[in-house]
Amino acid sequence: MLMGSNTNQKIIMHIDVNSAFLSWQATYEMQKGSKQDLRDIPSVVGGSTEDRRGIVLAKSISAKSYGIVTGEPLWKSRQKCPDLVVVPPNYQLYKKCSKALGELLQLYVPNIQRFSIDEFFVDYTGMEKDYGCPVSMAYKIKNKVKNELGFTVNVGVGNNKLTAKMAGELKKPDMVHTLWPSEIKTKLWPLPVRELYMVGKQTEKKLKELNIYTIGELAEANEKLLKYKFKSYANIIRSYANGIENSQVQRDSKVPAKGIGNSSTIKFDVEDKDTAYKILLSLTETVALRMRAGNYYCNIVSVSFRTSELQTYSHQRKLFTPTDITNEIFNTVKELFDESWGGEKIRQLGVRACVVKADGSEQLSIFDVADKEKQNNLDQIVDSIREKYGKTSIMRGVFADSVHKPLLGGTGDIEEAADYPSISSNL
Amino acid sequence: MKPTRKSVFMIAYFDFEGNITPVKFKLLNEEQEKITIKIERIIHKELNKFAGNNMLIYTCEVCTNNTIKLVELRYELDTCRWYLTP
Repeated sequence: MLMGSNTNQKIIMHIDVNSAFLSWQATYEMQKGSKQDLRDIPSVVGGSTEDRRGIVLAKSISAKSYGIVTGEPLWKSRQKCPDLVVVPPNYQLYKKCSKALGELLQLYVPNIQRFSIDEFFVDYTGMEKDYGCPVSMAYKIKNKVKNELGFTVNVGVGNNKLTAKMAGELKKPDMVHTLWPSEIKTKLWPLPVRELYMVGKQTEKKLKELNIYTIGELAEANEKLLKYKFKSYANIIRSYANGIENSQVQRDSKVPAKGIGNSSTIKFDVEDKDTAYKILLSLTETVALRMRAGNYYCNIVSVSFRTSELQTYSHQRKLFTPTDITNEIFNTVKELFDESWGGEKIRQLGVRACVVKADGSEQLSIFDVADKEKQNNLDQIVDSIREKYGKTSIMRGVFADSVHKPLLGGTGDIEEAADYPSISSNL
Repeated sequence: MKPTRKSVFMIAYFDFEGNITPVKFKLLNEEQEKITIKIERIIHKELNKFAGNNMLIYTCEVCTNNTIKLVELRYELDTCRWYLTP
């Protein structure tokens, strides 16, 4: 039995694909017969510069050595490395890879949780008697993924989801790390506080004001002082810094959404209201469709836009009664846009709705639109046609023969998006 | 990035067990002429699951211009397409 892993405690593993989008693309290219491995040369996965979506989504390790960071514009990366290879994103491929990884893990462990498209949690508790020590199992999984699926993963082993995840982040690529309670002081505490899960840019700034620079300093910080600055959030980060966390590995864990939003960068600058309305309508269609698919109502609608000078504005309003009707949401979207737009050139538009779970009951009001039931039925019919024949099988007249897509935003299939949760703040 | 593989027109056997045996294939050569190449022998067959994409890879012996060459033929299960990699 390994030190620190006594039988009363859980054993959790965290499996994380190393530079996921890029290594999946590289593996796929190699399988197609390419002799060059994208992972060995400076390369990035990025959007198209012509469509003005040219930012770095993922980078290779040698691209990292040029100082290229995820999220920066492609022209900036090309300045840093003129020979940079840029490949377009391919979400269908990523889904396929993620599915294959999930199926492979399933062969070893029954209880797995997909945490995001490239991350999994695995509950190994109680299995060590029959299947060997967790570390050797972690190596087995890591090597199996590498040999069978062609990409590398990091496996972190710990007593809870947090320590497993932190262990997986220690050193990359293609490694196995442990973070048992006895190792927290030596392995976790010397790291900069920003490395801790749930500590972002803003929290880091505030912590630095309190003279807290490392995770260890946070773990030993005065509780009252932290509470004064961060309120209830202080408890979370302080216990995380001490490696304390006890959520379950949940199969198909679905954290209820608080908000649903879509935004899109437009190929050209929008200067007139009509075009902006069309784009907002297609974004609203996507948001409303996602909302109804998840059985949500929205009670707050917010519109945001970014000007060609890269200034961002947003405006929001609470609705009188919660709704999931596309037209009703769009009316509010239009009002909000009219109130906030001063005629600037727009490069990005976004629509967002704060949502509550629909429980079957509905608050009626005498100010409701008269044909609410009709509108509801219409939306349902349109949704079912879209589900059966594809997203673009039915569209509004304004989008016929138009350059605008009838449903904007998102990465691909709306129906499948729910199966691949995006990065979450809840473990 | 340029793909280094070539799509080919293939004739293959499918037996009762679902095993696939490539027999001969057609492709365009540098002069854009169609040439037919017969597969003399299958040396190795493996299922490659890289990137979650299932592909059968056949290493075969073929005879062109009176010389025996080794080629790799790939069958992508999802798309049912055959490819030749030099």
